[in-house]
Amino acid sequence: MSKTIFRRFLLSLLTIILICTLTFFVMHIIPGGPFQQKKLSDVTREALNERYHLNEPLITQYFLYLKGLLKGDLGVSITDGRSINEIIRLSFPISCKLGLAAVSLALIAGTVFGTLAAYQKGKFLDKLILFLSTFTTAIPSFVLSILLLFVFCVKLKWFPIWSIHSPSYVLPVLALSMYPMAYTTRLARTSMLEALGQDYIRTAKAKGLSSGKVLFRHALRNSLIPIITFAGPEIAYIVTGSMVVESIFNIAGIGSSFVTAITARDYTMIMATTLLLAILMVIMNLICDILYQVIDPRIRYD
Amino acid sequence: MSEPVLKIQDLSVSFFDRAGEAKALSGVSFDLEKGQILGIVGESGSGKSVTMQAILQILNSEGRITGGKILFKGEDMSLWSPQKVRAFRGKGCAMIFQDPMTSLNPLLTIGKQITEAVTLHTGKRGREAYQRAVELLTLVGMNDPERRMKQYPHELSGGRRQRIMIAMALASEPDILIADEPTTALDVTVQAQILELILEIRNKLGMAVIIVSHNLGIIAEVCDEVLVLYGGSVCEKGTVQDIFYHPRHEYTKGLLASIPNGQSRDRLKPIGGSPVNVRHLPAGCAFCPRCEEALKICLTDKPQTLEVSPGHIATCWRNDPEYRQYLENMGKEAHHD
Repeated sequence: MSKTIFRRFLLSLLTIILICTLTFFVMHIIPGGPFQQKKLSDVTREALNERYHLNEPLITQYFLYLKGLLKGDLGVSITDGRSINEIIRLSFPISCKLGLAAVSLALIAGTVFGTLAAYQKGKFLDKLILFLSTFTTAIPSFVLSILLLFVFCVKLKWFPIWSIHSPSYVLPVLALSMYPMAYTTRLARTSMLEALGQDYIRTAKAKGLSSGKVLFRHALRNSLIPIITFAGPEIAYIVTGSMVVESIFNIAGIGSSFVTAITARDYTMIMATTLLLAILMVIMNLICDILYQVIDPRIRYD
Repeated sequence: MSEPVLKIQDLSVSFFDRAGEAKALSGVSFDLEKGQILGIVGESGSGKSVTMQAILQILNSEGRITGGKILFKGEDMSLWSPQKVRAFRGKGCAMIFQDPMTSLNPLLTIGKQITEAVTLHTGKRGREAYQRAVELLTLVGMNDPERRMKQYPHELSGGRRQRIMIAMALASEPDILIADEPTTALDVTVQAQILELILEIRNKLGMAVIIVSHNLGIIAEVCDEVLVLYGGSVCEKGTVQDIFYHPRHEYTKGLLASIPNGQSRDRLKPIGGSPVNVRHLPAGCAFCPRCEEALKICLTDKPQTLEVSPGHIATCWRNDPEYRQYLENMGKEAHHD
């Protein structure tokens, strides 16, 4: 087991380096640059390019970047002027906290709803859950966020508007978790139905076990694999923040950096956000693979 | 003998769905005595499995018992509370299934699955339950039971898994053991071992056994009595001797003619046509459309169930006293005798 994990770790490292390299070169292939659109004098532009080593050959820039990376330095944001390490240190924990809360809620509630729906297949509860989850999947997150904000903050005044000093996570967590919750519900329902149709469930029933034990001891574990497969990448996405939810709730998370960095050609920021997502993704996939083995003894990689 | 362990009286089961009603069972009756091994034979759709599911009350949501009674030790099961029915499953009547490959939970160890049944039915916990599970594994002839306890189903062969299914079923010391095609998915050599095991356990524990199969060979080998089902009704019931040497229903005869006996070099004689559709049962005998010896009356009227010799019953117009009389008057011999 530990040998497999070590091999997977090396492979993960290689993946990250590859993504890093690819992003770096693709990013520079796209015509234009951070200072192209702005109204600057040629002298200023030249000076800025010099400052950020943008006039060096690409390969030199790449190695300069890698050198910084090895020292743990992600560079300075080209548009912002602040150090990227600092930006991440301030905003990532906020997005991370928000995301983890949202994804936990989504996975737990989704699994419970899906299991209930499968257990009550064809009955009213199943139809209601199915309807709600389809409905929620269809609502864009900005509509949902604005709706929540309007109803609970502005009209009912149940929650204050978010600020660093009095952070109220309830609404943004709800807004963030709706889509993954609906998705998990549908996944859980489908895989639970499949598990409940298996022969060993009939055996468990014939043994005389109560339906609760049949459901939770025998069926649930067998229905978890698809949910884990979905949860891995979803966690990576959700903890890196959502531009929509964070800007509507006025949260100083990292979510918007992903989008603004690209439109502003903030090269160092693009690299940093891509790297962050890639690392998280690789870690989550590794965790998923380990979990598969924990859940299903038939799955062995070596 | 005293009261039968299980008495099925005129049991009818139907499945209802959008396409209408499918009469899976129409008026099946039989008794099961303590220590008896009853074989139930019939092709797919004849109602073998539905009978078992009705007894355990694990019919799916579309299935309903529409008539008749199931009496367990004289008690009408339809009057039982859900708790009592659940206690009956496993405790009163345990079941082993056709495919041991898929009938065990792949994610739980053998030990966990057996101790679960032990704890449920005997209240033993922890060390005690573990000991009992090891005992059960030894009883079903598993070597190295302690090691088996830690293994997962996929690490064992089909025959071993079926032994584990049996061990699990025995955890509660049930009054009845139902074996639904217990050997169909196994190698021939392993089949014999499993049958032997079932016989041995019956002798040791004295429980009643129902073996459901379409394999007449295994029925002949282990059963005391045989019930032949077709299209949801009983065709014939009798001892193994009766059924195999003096069949009185054309369907039974057809089944017997279609077994390879290893001696004759003739082609096997299949029963023509296809099994009756229980959504559209004919007005007369269900087997009539495929019967080579059908009479006119078979087409229009349901045959009576008659006792043709003590304990041997058959549901065929050819056993009707009036018809036998008519044959005699015609000076012909009824060809079955």
